[in-house]
Amino acid sequence: MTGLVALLRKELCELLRTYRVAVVLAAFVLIGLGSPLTAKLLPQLLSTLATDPGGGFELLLTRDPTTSDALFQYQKNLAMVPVLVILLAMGSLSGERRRGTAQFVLTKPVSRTAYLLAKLLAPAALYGIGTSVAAAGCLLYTWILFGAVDLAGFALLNALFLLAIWFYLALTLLASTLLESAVAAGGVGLAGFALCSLLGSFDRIGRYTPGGLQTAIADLIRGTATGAPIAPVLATLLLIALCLLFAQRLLRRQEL
Amino acid sequence: MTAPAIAVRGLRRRFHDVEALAGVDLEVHGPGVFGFLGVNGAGKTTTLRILAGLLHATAGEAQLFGQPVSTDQLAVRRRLGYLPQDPVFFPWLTGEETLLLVADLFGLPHSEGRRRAGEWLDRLGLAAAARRRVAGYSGGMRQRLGIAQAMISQPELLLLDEPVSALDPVGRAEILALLDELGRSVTVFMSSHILADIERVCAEVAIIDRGRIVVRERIAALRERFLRPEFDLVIAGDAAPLSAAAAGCAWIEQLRVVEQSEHETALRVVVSDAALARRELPRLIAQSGVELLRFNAALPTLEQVFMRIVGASAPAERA
Repeated sequence: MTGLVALLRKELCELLRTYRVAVVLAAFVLIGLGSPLTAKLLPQLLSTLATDPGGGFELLLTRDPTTSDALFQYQKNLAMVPVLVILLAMGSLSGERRRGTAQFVLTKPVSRTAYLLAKLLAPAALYGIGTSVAAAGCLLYTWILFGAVDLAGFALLNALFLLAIWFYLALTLLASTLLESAVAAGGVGLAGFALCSLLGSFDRIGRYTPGGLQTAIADLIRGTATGAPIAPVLATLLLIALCLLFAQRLLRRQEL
Repeated sequence: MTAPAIAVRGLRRRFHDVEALAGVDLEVHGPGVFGFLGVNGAGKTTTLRILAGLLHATAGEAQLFGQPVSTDQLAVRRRLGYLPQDPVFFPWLTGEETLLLVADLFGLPHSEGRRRAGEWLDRLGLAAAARRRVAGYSGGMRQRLGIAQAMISQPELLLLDEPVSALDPVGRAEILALLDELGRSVTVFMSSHILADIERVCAEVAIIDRGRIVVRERIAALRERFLRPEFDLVIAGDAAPLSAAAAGCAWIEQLRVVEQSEHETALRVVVSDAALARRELPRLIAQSGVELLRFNAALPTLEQVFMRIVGASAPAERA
């Protein structure tokens, strides 16, 4: 894989210099710390409004918020991260082709496969770090506000989320390889996200799509998981591999 | 026998209904600076982009060092430096970091990359701007950086697409002097439509017109081939004695006064045989008793040659 290390260095430098690292980490910190806080404080805030004489409604709280509420809030907040991933990845290849910087790199002795892999691996690592940061924050605040969390289940939940993120990244990179316009590539990524979310809600089909990962995460939080979510994991891994393979084939023949 | 640095046979490229290259045949052996001339749209950039592995040919064959050009031919790219017509860089890198990135992409050790980056930044007058982001560079600075990035790997072949087009006259002279120096050890293949630049550094040229190579020759031979059998003379006083002497010479087709002042006369002599005229004309002037002030064979410029080859061929068709 000629040039992969050099290209990875370049991609990481670009992520840093263009403030993407800062934006992604800030978003993950906010999700990690904010989710348990929201679960804890939202009912109290609503109660304050309800007891206000001018509030105009009555709030009936049947129970106090629990660890599950914090984790569901965490899941809900994480569920919007693919939009950020798609927006940041949509110009990754099409933008470089349009600006001419792809020519600058690909007239050097580096393989196009390495070029594509660097475009995947650098942000994939960033999202890995971001997820770890969010998970650590969520774990800490949930432990402080609600009590202990099942560590193995929480780790699996985050791993499943990260896998879903990597799929949307690979899908958007494929669209960015195929299409001239970054906006069009972003549109394909978002359409894929919407479709997978929709399919995920159908139990029979959903389990064989990346959308099934969200269902598996919800089952883990509820404690209703009956076994390891092998089907959506394998389906997502397969789709990531197919996206990369197709993108690599396209890029190999592409004119710049 | 070593393979030519560039070998192109029957190269064709079509963009929709436009045939940019209509069967280009060309072989370039190095080292030396080889000029690739043509008007805008003649096919220069398309040829260079195919050689750099950025475009595919519709038909024909392109080879560098005996290896076919393709997007995956990394061994060939190790020996190649390429400067596009409008060099583009990552705006978030400094000039020095850009060169270090290129060195890294060529697999050079970091210390060696740093040494070469410093050397080329210095040679191209960019040392003071080395730590500034490329986004703030002028067009001329970007072109200099483009040449530096093409040279940092010490390539055997340099493909330069209009390398001095964005430079001011001083910068142009400096870069042409550098290319002249590089041409002693490297094969430099440079496209341009600025004929004076080509004439200054290239020993050999190919002229492309409407996707075909119409001439490929050494500049000296080209000038000789297109040498007009004309001589420019300046004599003291009146031209009448020389005109009288010329009347008896069958090889003089025309002798006309171009300019006349009180003390001297400029004449243009058109002859049928340039070699004969070079021998006989000085003798004729001496016999006529006129005082010769200046005597020049009318050597054509590359521009005149170019215009005769390309310019004369139906501008309406080109449009």
